[in-house]
Amino acid sequence: MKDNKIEFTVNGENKIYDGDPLRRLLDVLREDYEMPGAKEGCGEGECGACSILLDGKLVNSCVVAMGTIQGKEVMTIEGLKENERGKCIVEAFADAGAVQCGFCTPGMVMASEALLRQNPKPDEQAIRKGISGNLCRCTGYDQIVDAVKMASERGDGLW
Amino acid sequence: MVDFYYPESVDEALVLRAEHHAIPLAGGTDLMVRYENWSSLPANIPGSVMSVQQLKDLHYIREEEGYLCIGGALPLNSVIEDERIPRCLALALDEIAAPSLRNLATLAGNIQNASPAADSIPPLLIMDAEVNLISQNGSRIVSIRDFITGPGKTDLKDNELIESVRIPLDFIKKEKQGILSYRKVGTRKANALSKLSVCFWAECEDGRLKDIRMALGAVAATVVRLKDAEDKLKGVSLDELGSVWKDVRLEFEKAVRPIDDQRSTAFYRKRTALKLLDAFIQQASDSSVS
Ligand SMILES: Cc1cc2nc3c(=O)[nH]c(=O)nc-3n(C[C@H](O)[C@H](O)[C@H](O)COP(=O)(O)OP(=O)(O)OC[C@H]3O[C@@H](n4cnc5c(N)ncnc54)[C@H](O)[C@@H]3O)c2cc1C
Ligand code: FES
Ligand code: FES
Repeated sequence: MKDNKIEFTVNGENKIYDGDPLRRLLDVLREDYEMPGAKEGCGEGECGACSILLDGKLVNSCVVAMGTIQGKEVMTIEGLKENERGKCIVEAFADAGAVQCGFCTPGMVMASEALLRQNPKPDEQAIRKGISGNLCRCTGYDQIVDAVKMASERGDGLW
Repeated sequence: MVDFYYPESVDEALVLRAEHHAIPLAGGTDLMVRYENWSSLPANIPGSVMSVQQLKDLHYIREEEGYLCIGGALPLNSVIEDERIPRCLALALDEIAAPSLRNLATLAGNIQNASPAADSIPPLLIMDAEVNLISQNGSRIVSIRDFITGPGKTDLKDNELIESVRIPLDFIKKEKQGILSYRKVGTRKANALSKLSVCFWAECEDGRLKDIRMALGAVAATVVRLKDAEDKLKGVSLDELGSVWKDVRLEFEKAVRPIDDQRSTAFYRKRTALKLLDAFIQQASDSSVS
């Protein structure tokens, strides 16, 4: 019953974790797997810099305990940016001027992917809601909203 | 390292509750933040812990004996997406945190956390919702009103789990015929705890106020339902509602004692709560006209 071996996948690759089940997924990604894409901003679920997809759903990896992800699929920016949809979003962010310091960008891109999966043609209000859990200290958000719109248009049919 | 359990069934989880009093970990959006450690160290949750979000038997919404029952481990986004849930609850849950946290956070977690600002509680209170608590000894049903006993305190025993939240179908059926007002006042749209939240519902019939239910969050140590005020207003004719409210308001002003904290001041909370109540009573009075 007490089982500390946790099997799951990260970007399609099988992983077995047998460390402390109360470590945060964010730390395991960054430290054990050397995937620094997910960032730690607040560490308290407020800023979205650590956003990843867990079984296809957007979550904050700083509040996810390793012990709860048995059998789940994790997708990080490292995986997303290799596929067509990820490439489309990343390019749109660059072209729309939605990246300044870049700290929020991986989380914003993950939030955009999660939104477009649910709603491939979001209007401005839906976009603002989709990224409402992600803080950006630099851009003022307008360029990010433009980027998501651009990705949705350019990537027509991808989602 | 803490003892961490991953029960495969509800029965197994109840054994762990009984024998180890293992703390249920659902979305972790309260627990992982409250027991946050220095960066990159495991969370400091005291005692043994068990994951409950994988218990698929607690992921349901179904009708049972006159109630709509929402399984304890269902993430908030799945609750919001279900068309059977009442509008007042959908509006309130949609205001909790942001989409990413709502994929993790659960209704049971929100209730058990028992924050005076917990957004699910005002609508649950006005609907007279109940929680079904299970243990190896069976189940017991407690009204939300009695379940929350203080700030951060509930009647949950250390061998129990919240199995589901039960909402009377009677209310859901008549909700649309009434006037609903739900407002959350916060600093930022997402991820901000309430400075104040209100959930009011009223039903008018033949020029009278047939039923009225009012709950306020973040104005006292727990979310409050204004039962005394409701009783005084019920049955009043809509023409007289304004003047009756004036008297009730005076008493009510004494009863509401919000606090100053980092999110807002007592003065702001009280004044805003009263203004929102005034507006709602006005809306109910005006409903006779249409
Ligand atoms: C950035 C941020 C923003 C937030 N914004 C809001 C907001 O706007 N409004 C709001 O109301 N809340 C907010 N919260 C608080 C929190 O997200 C909610 O209270 C959430 O519903 C908790 O659910 P959970 O499943 O994550 O709980 P957990 O953290 O897993 O657990 C919380 C408590 O419930 C217990 N528990 C969990 N499941 C069960 C069960 N089945 N039976 C018995 N006990 C159980 C746990 O042991 C623990 O005591 C916010 C939190 C964060 C981090
Ligand atoms: S680091 Fe996870 S939300 Fe800020
Ligand atoms: S680009 Fe700097 S925080 Fe968003």
